Amino acid sequence: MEDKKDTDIHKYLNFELSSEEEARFKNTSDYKKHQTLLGLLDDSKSIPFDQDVLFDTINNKKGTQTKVIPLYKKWLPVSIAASILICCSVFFFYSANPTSYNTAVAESIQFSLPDNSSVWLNAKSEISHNKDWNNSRDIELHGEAYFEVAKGKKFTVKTSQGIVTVLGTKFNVKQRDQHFEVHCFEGSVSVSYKNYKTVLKANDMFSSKEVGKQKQTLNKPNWLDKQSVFDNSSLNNVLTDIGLHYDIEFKKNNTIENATLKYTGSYTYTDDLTTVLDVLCKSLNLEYSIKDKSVYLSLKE
Amino acid sequence: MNLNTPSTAPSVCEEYHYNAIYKKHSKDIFNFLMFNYGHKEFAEDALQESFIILWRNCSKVSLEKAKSYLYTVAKNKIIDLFRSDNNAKKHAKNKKSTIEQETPSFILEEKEFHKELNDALAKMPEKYRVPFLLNRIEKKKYKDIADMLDTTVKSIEKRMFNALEFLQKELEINKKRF
Repeated sequence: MEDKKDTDIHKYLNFELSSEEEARFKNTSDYKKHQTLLGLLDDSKSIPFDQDVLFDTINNKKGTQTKVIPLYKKWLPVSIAASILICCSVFFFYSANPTSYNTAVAESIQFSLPDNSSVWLNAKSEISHNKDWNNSRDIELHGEAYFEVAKGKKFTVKTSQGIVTVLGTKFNVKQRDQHFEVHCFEGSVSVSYKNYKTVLKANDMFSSKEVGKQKQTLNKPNWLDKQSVFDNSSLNNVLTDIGLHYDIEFKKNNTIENATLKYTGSYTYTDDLTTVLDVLCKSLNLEYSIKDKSVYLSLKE
Repeated sequence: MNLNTPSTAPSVCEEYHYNAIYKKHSKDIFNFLMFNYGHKEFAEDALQESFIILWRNCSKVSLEKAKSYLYTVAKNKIIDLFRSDNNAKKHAKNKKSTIEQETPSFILEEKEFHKELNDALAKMPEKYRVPFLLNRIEKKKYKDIADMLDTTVKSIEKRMFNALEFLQKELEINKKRF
C-alpha cells in the first residue's frame, strides 16, 4: 500500500497522470499534504534567459580570436600588479588582435591586405587575418572570397573545411556549410582537404563534392560580375546561393524534399527576387509564394 | 598522393549543426547552472564559454558527444568563476570597499513568497534542489533530468521526495504567512 502511494505522487510530479487520475489524486491526503507547496511552485518561474542576445555575443567572440588576457570584470583593485596586467594586455591586444571583415546578405566588398594583395569578399562571409605580415600571411575565411595575391612569402587561407596555400596567384575559395571549393585562375595553389592534398594550376579547380582535380574555363569567378551560373546544380545549392544575395529564407514543401531537382541557369544579383524565382520555378515546374522574409516552394500539381 | 574520399559525416564545425546545438541545449544548460548556483551572470558567462570552447574544438567533438562536452565545460567554468570571485573577495577584505554578498536567486522573484522560497531553496542541498526545480519549474521529466545529471530515474525519485520533505519542513515555520 505504502509503495503505491509513493508511486502516485511521482506519477503526478512526472506528468504521467491523465486528467481523471490527476483529479482523483488531488483528493488524496498525500497530495493535500503538499498542496500549498506545490501550488507555490506552480506559481514560480525560472530566471529569464535571453537566448538570442547571448547567441550574438557568442558569435562575435568565436569570429575573432583575440589573445587578450581576460581582466575579471568585477574586480579592479588599485594595485601595481593590476597596472602591469593592464599594460601587458594592451600590448598583447594591440599586437595580436586580428583585423576582420565581414559581409551581410547581398553585400560584397573589396579590400587590400597589408602586402597589397587584393581580396573580394562575397555575401555572408567573414575574413580575419593577423596584423603583422612580416612573418607570415595567414587568413581565416568563412564563406567565399577571391584573392589576387602579390608575390612574396607563403600566403595561407584557412577555412573550417580545408586549407589553401599559395605564393603569388589568383584564386577563389568557397566554404559554405560542408562544402569546400577552390578555383585557381593564375599561378598555382596547394589545397589541403582532410587527408587529401593537391596542387592546382591555372584553370584547375577542386571541389569537396567530387574528389580530385577538375577543369574550369572562367577567367574569374562569376560572383565578381554579380551573377551566379548553375550547370546541373542541385536545388539546394541554388537556394543556398540565392539566400546569400536576397534577404529571405526558403521553406520547402514535403513534395520537393524527395525529388532530386537539378537546375541549369543563371541570375544576376540586380534582378528582382520575383524574376529570379519565376525563372527558377518555371524551369523546375515549381510554385512559390512569398510571406514576409519566407519563400514557400512546392511542386506544381 | 592519398586519395581518401572525403567523409560527408555531419560535424559540429558546420554552422548549421552548431546553431542547432545551441538552440536545443542552451536554455537547459543555463537553467542547470542557475538551479545549481543561483548566479545569473556566472551562469551566462559559463554558458558562453562552453559554446566558444566547443567551437574551438569542434573538429574533435562528435555531434553525439557535444551535449555532455558542453555540460562539462560549463560546470568547470562556473566553478572557476566562483573561485576567482572568492580570491577577489579575499584580497578586497583588507580594503574598505563593500562587496555585496550576492544572494543566490534560483527562481524569479516577482511576488513576496518567492523571496522566502529562494531562501529555503538556498538552504537545500543542490543534490535535491537541481532535480526538483528542473521538474517543478522547467517541467522536465525524470528521465530527462536523470540524463542531464548522469544518474538514474530511481535516484531522481528519491531526490524529489527528499526535496519535498525538506521544503515542507523549512517552510513549516513560516507556513502561516502563506
